[in-house]
Amino acid sequence: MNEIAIKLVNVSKNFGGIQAVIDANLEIKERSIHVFMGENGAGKSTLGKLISGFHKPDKGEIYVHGEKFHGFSSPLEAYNKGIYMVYQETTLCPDLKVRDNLILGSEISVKLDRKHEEDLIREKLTPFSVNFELPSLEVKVSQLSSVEKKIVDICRGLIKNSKIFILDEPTSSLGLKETRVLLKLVEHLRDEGHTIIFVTHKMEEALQIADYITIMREGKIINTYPKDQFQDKILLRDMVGEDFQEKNIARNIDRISDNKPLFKAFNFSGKVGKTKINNVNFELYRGEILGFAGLVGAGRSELFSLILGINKKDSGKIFFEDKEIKDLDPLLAIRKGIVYLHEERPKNGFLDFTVLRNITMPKLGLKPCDFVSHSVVIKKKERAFCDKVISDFKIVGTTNTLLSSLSGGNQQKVLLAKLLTLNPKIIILDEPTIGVDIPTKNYIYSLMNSFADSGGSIILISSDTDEILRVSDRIIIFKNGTIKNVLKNNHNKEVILNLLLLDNNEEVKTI
Amino acid sequence: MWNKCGIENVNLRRGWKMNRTWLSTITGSTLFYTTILLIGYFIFIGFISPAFLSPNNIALELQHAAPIAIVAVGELGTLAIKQMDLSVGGIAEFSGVLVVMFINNGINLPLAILLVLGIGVGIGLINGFIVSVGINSFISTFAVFEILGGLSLVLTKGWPLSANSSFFTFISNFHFLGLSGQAIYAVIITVIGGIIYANFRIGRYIYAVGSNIEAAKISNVDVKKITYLVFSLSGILAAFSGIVSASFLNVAYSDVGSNYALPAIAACVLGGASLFGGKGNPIGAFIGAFLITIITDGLVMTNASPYWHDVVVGFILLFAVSMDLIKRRQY
Repeated sequence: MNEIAIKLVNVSKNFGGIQAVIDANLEIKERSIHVFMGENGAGKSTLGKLISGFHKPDKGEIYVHGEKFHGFSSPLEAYNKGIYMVYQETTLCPDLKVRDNLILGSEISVKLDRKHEEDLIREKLTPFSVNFELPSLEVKVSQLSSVEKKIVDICRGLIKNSKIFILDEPTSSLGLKETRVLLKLVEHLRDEGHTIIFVTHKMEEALQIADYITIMREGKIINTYPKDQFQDKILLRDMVGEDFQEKNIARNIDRISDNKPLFKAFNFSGKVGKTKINNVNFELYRGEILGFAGLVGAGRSELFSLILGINKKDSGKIFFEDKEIKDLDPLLAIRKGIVYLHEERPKNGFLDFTVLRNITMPKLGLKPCDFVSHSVVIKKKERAFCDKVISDFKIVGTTNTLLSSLSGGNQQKVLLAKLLTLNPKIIILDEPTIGVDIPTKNYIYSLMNSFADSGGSIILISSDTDEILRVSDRIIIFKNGTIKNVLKNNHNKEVILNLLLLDNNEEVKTI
Repeated sequence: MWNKCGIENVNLRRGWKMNRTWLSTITGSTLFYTTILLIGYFIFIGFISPAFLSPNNIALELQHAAPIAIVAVGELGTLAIKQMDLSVGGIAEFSGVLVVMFINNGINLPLAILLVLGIGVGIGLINGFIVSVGINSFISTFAVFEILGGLSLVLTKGWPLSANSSFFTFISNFHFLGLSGQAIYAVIITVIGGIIYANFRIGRYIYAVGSNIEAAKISNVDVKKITYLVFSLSGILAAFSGIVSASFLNVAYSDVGSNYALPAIAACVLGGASLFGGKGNPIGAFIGAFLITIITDGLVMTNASPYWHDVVVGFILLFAVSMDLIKRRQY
């Protein structure tokens, strides 16, 4: 059997009182692909970063090829031990050429020796380039596609003679085809004799490439399975824990109360950054939760930035309460009762103020407002209002707590409370449960249900298929910037996954 | 994207070709547009006043462009690491005043120059220190500019300070192959700078820091060292520019540099640098400085009042940074 490349003994790490990793014990075998899987916030990335030396463990020991370390003081030290981490956010210099990025930091002399660099690149990457055509060395990294960047990043590790690669959510920014290329490459790396730690939350990928899967939940290592014991149900149970049962409770209330849609988007097209949106039409009914399922990067968030007028659309009409709204913009949307929770919390008008100021900020400009009289804020009423919101939404914190000092889950509750207290007719939730703990997740689902029950409409954008299946009334399958299917939620995960992963004429990999 | 790259199957056999030609690389660079602008301007001014294009006048324009070009080569480093140095004008006037005072007080010329260059490096190191600590370079270097400009006024009481050394003026005013000393220094500094940026490790590190500081850090690049280095380089070149300017007229003016920083930044950006860091090269900065000089000097040919100078420089700067932003948006 293969030797052990990395061994963790009782490794723990906490960040400002939050236990990110608790007593991790683990052995990682050489020449294997070892997947760390878990939901967002399970601690899998932190564990990867502890091994890479990016973080230093608070306690516990890390052994690399039997040599003991109390964690590395810096990533550089880890490099020297042959450990290379490909971070989720690419750590390449976009303005430098591929070749310069490959060599950066490994220059041998003050004056650049380009000949030597070329030889080095050729020598280290030859086993690779037989099977993988590498991007041209003379191109700037900013011009590469996402997968090309990942590949260049991996190659950089090869140049540095690394034997152990830690890939942190490498496919999160990739499309389906790109993902396949990357997975193929990872397998190739293993076959060449490297050890790979692959951090992901995507079950499909894990099952496809892993030799071992370690499941993490809430900072703890739950179980490690070798390849012959992979079973998606068991893995899923380990990932979500006790909530597994509840997660699959079907919601069969057909609450679409009238036949006329509340909101209609017609023929939306446009371009946001590199993402193209093509001819999107959909309807939203009163009291409905409409799920937008899709892979990361499908263009769902971009669609709504076109609809809300954050980015300029090429074409598209909006009908709201039977009237056409021309040129919706974010402010007008709030006035009309359409609010949007952005997927990135900092973009949600996440103000570095107290909870109170965050909650009441959007209301100050709206008329009528209970606690503003003749442009003067009545502090007492504002505080009373805010106290009520905090107790209503079970936020752990007080009016005067800084929002940034709250936990992720509580921050999300504050942001949701901010939107819901505007009495909206439609809320658009973009990945509302990312980085949120499981109890808060469930609480958010119950908030969504009660909002819909009371006649509000919700658009839920989520890459978490289980989440979509759990709360949606109808599901829209969104792919490559357009709507592929619209279907009633029949709580059949396989159907949804097939639609999501099936790519035109390519065969589906069912699991 | 993927299909365009010609990838048909997962095996990724041959066929990962970049469909980006040399043409698109060139048309993607600011320097390309700056060069077109330069040629266009030559044609325009050639119609109005053919004499403007005579070799003698071009040599004169190079001489005019020299102080800004020298400063711009230093400025470039700070822009490339995503900072900026607004103190260059202050360093230049302070250096001019100091070198003349040193000479007039009997310190011999080479020593005076070395001392002043050393002071330039020192001020640059102070700038580098302030920025490394985490203070915004926009504000801190502007403060240093104010301090040095003020000190120059204090030292000269606002009067021009003439040097009583006949050799001092020779430094800038000798001629070789029709070019004045001032222009020759600018060309030499630009060429040396160009070689360092393109062929030395330090150049690559500078771009890396400006391009993605986190990537630079984990790649063993000493970000602090690079910051000190670019600011001290900017300091020594600004000091040299001040010496050369003082030597040219044999007089040190306490306000000679008040108009250096912005044209220098404009020159760098016209030459391909970006306010977002990670880009630019000294040769581009030199061309940018030359373009700005001939446009402002050309005003005289169009019978415009010379007081329009600052207005034009302002517009050129706005144009350059807009181009920078537009190009950045394309990615």
